[in-house]
Amino acid sequence: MRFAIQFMRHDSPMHRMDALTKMVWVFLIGIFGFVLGSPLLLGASVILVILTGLVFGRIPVSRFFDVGKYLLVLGLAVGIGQLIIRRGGATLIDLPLVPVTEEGLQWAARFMFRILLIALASMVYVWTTDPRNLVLGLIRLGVPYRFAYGLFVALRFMPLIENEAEVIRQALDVRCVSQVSGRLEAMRRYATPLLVAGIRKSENVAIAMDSRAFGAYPVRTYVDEFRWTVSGLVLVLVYVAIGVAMIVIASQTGELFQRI
Amino acid sequence: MAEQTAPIIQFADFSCGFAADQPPILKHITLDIYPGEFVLLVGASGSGTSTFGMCLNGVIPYVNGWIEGSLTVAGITTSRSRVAELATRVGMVFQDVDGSLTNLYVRDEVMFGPENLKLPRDEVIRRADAALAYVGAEAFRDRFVFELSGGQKQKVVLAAVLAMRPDIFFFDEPTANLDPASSSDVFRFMARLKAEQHTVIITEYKMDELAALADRMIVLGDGEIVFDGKPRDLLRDVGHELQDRWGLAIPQAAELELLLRQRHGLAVSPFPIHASEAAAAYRRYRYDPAAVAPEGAHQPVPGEVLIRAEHVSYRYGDGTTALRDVSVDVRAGEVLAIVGPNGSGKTTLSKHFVGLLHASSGVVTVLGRPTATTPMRDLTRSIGYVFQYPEHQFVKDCVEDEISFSLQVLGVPDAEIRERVREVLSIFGLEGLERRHPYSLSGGEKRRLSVATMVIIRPPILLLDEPTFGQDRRNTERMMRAVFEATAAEDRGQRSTIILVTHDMKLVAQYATRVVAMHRGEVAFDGAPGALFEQPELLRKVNLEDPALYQIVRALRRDGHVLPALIESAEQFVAAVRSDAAQ
Repeated sequence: MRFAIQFMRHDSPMHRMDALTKMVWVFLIGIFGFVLGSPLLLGASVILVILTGLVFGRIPVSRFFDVGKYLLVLGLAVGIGQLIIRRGGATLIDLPLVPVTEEGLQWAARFMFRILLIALASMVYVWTTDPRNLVLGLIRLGVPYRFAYGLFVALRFMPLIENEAEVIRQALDVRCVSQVSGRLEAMRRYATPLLVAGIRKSENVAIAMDSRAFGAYPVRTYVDEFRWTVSGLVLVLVYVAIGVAMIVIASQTGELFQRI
Repeated sequence: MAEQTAPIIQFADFSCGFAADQPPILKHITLDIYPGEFVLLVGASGSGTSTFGMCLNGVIPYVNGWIEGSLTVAGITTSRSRVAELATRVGMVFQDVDGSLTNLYVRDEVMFGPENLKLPRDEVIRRADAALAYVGAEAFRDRFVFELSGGQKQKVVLAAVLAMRPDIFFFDEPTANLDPASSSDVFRFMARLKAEQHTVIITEYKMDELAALADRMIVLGDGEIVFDGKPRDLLRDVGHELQDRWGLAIPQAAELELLLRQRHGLAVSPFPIHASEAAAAYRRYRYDPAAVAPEGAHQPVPGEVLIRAEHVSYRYGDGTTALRDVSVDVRAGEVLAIVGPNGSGKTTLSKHFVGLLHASSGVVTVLGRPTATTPMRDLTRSIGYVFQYPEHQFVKDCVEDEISFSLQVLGVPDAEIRERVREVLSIFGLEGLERRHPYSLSGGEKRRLSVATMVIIRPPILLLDEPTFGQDRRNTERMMRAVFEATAAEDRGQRSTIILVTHDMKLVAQYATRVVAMHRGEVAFDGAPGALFEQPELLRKVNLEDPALYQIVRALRRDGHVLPALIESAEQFVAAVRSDAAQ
């Protein structure tokens, strides 16, 4: 089985970077997403993140397609919402209920690209970051190890929950749930066993961890150590430079800090 | 065993439960367990064996539930200790292997416990390496845990617990999800722990291998200790009661001996509780193969082809090939068992039958219609698919609605639905539970309900995925009886075809008319169960083991006794033994 939200083991420059500077990279992209108002620059940023993942993270194109199609649907849905609620400027297409206006189109593109940008950067982070290094990094920052492991376990078990969701979908498909229930009812039917399975799984995991003396002492031993990497720093600096350039361009065209 | 020393575990008038307003799960337990004892803790579903373990590591009452009386484990009073503290003394191996693996890499998993114990770095590494070597898992130390097979994962869990060097090991059905060969690996690990005089407590339905290994057997019934003694003595003296009253599957060797004593007045000493002991003891008997009356289950049932898989290959999204050029016909009236180790492709193949997966190449047809192009709603009229976990298929808030939902989907008139629901409730022993929420049922009731929701459709084919998972002998027999009764109604002509996807070789021996053994995505064997059990080399190759009864029969035939290869039950074996048996 291939899971969308799971670390992919490769030997790539991004895989070799430390988890903390890479996290700074994701935050930087988040900042760009909110600071830049130009759909063009946001779109360019999306392409930049994908290229970074492809070239420096050696993420297969197929993986971007797998995740991208869902993100695109989400982005388009939000974009259409923007088309409906934002109206201004010239009318580009005069549809009866939803006239597509210049301003509406701009906002639709802006929101869609923001969603894609932040989600894809986060996915590149998950795909290229060994959760073990993330834990070690967080502990280096002074985060209590119980909290750091909480995040680790969430990442570790995401694929199991994905798998569980798929099995439940199949199990309910053979009972024809989706064919006789309304969409909301069907979702409720899918959600209930998933919730029950999720609670049971998390209880089992918590007990399994406690049963291995997790939390027995205020501190614990770490065989592996966290190490900062130069390549991570380089990535962040390059993105800072690109971001500053984009912000300069956007400020000249008056497309910074678009008010929502 | 060293009863002169102080007990390592002491229960004193101990009761416990989860909710204050519900009856206790364990009641007035008073029990001492000594260092170095190997204890087999058995009981039917719901008898409290898993709860017993949760008390030992302090989950009850620290995380959940209440207790009365006292429990001391390695000198620690559990009610005054946290789970993590008790974990330094008690190593727990749980049924849910996936839920037990909390790290990403095998080596990290094994180091996790010693790291939590604040041991020096070098000691952590030394312990992890030693534990991995102990269980034979060094080869995959740098792999992701989720990439491993079920058996390999269980080895990692065992190594992880071993690395903590606990005083007491508690195993809660450690082989529940494993194929027979992987289960044997676990039992060999147990034997080693016993030889090294570790204190071990294990709860397990599969008694064939463990009874002979254990020093002591404790039987829980309705939350109380009903028997406590040496396994050989208990099986000899109260074996029938363990089966009939307490719903346990006793070792087949013991079952044979009890029947031989009852029917022919023959007895060997010591009382055999392992296949090898029975085979050695029964060499002295004389046999009459003609006296073995066929029970009917294994008679080939010719019928039309209902399912045809032709040259089916399937590849998952990550490139893993799960099926390679598989061709199988399933005929009307058969009881077909699809067996094989974890990851061999048996569930993948069965999902093709109901259109949940579509072949990458090749064709699957059900009643002549290709599953790739037939709507799921039409396919489910032909084939009822019961998943391994009953909760996954529940869609309604009470038992009655759950069962009737299957017919409502098909547009069956209300009056007929009411009648058929009543019939199915009765067959599956669910009367009186009509208004209960499906999630509130016991494990056995949930399993029967999930089967009932499919059987009520009266599909020509019924597919059960791991039907005995988590079920004791009584529940398994009750469910299988109900399945045969419900699918053999006289007004519907030939019995439905039943497909069992299973690891349980006793189930195969008892019910299947045909076996398809899968190995690495290919069909390694297709034929009668007896013919499969006659091929030890093949069994080894596909990680399977024949049931104890077949091991005994094979050993006797090897010794020159004339016995049919296809002895299906203890009853048949006993019939073959001459009453003037002793040679």
